[in-house]
Amino acid sequence: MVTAEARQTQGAPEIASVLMAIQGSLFLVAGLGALPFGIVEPWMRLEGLATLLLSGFTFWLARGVRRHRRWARRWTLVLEVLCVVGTLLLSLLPVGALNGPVPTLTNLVLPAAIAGLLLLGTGREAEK
Amino acid sequence: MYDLANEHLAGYVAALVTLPMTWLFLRLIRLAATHRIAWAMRFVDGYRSSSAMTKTAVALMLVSAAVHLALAPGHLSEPAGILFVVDGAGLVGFSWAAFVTTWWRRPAALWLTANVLAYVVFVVAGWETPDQLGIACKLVELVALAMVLRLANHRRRTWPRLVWRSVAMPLLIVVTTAGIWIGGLAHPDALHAHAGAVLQPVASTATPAQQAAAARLLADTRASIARYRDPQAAIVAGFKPGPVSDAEKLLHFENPANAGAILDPMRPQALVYARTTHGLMLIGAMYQMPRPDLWGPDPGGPLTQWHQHEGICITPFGFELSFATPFWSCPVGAIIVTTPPMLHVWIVDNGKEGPFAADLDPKVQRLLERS
Repeated sequence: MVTAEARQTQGAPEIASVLMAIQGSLFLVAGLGALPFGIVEPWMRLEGLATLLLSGFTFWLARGVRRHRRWARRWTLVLEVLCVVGTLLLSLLPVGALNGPVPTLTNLVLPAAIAGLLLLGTGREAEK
Repeated sequence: MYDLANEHLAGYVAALVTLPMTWLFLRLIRLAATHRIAWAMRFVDGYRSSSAMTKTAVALMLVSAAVHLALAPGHLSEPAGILFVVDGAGLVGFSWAAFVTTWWRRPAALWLTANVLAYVVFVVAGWETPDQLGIACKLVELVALAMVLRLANHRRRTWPRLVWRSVAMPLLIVVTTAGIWIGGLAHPDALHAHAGAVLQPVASTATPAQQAAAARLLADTRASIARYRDPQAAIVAGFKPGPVSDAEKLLHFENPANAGAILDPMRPQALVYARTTHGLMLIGAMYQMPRPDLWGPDPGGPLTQWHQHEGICITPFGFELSFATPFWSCPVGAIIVTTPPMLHVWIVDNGKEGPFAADLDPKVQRLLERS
């Protein structure tokens, strides 16, 4: 049970920020996981580092969303829409991109949920 | 590498029906509250005064509980079965407590953390094979845990506490990912080979007819591709050299015109060359099916077992590869793919691995590189 004050600070933007922290962590492991391949594959090294930067950016956005910053909401929507559209486009190709519940949760449901939460009315109310 | 295990079907069904069942339960308990039943009134009051974050965390805990309880009957003969029951019951208990108590957050956070770490221990020890339901369940629990931790009312804002709150969840996710990765690669089951390649399910022994068919396929392939010993001849015939990577000592020359052929020795999808000190040496052919969801014909039964690679991250820059994480994420710019099934036919002596192995024997490869 929570107080009324706490209830107001645990709405859609706060839930979105928690999901973004999870998403940032998943970017983090993807970046770290690519680095060993970078020992012999130079592009994978660059992509691993770029993914680590994206992870940091996502954590920063999550902080901004939790604090109801308008810029954070906008950048997050851009990021999540890109993720969802990219995944849907990949799913059209015969490459098994959405092969089971884990890729669906990680690459489609998670970004769609974040975007959906930010588009909810409660996500817009308290913007600064 | 991380399958959809058929014996876990009950878990998928349970996860899908949890939320409709929860909605039905809420309707019933509200009905009970209107009849002035004390415990129902208390629950409904707590539910109404709770935040959206609490309700979401509870919903996620209930999904995990339902999966564990649904899987328990199939695992009761193992120690894990009892743990599934205890785990599911605990999560249901905390879900109830979330609306009727004020002390539930810390024990629920500990319970969820223990749950995730126990899974990692089981996987690393080889007592459990990581599959998609297990990994999806851990993802749900990690999200629930992050929400439960965010619900806490942090009064003491010292630097060490702030740093720990910032790094705890990413650290747990890194540990979980590493554990599942290590466990999956270190303890592959019978249907997984090198680096998590998935093997076609086949019978354990080959019949005499299958042995003859396999020998025929090898002979026909060897005779057919002999004309491509010179890589230039292959290029003239329409085979295109694949991307060159320092990590890959074998070169695949692919012919898009043969994409529709199925196990046709006259029209293999690719030729395999080894990079030796005196140039490229033809060492085999690769047959590939047109679609990822279609195993190829296996005339030799277990001798001609197809394999495919799932969860591979391919970057279009330089055509380099890495593995997707168990949570199915790739580095930025790479796309995640599952390859169509493929069958190698090695025309050189492939040692103990045999002429149809998914991989060239490492000893043979080293000898070829030095030759």
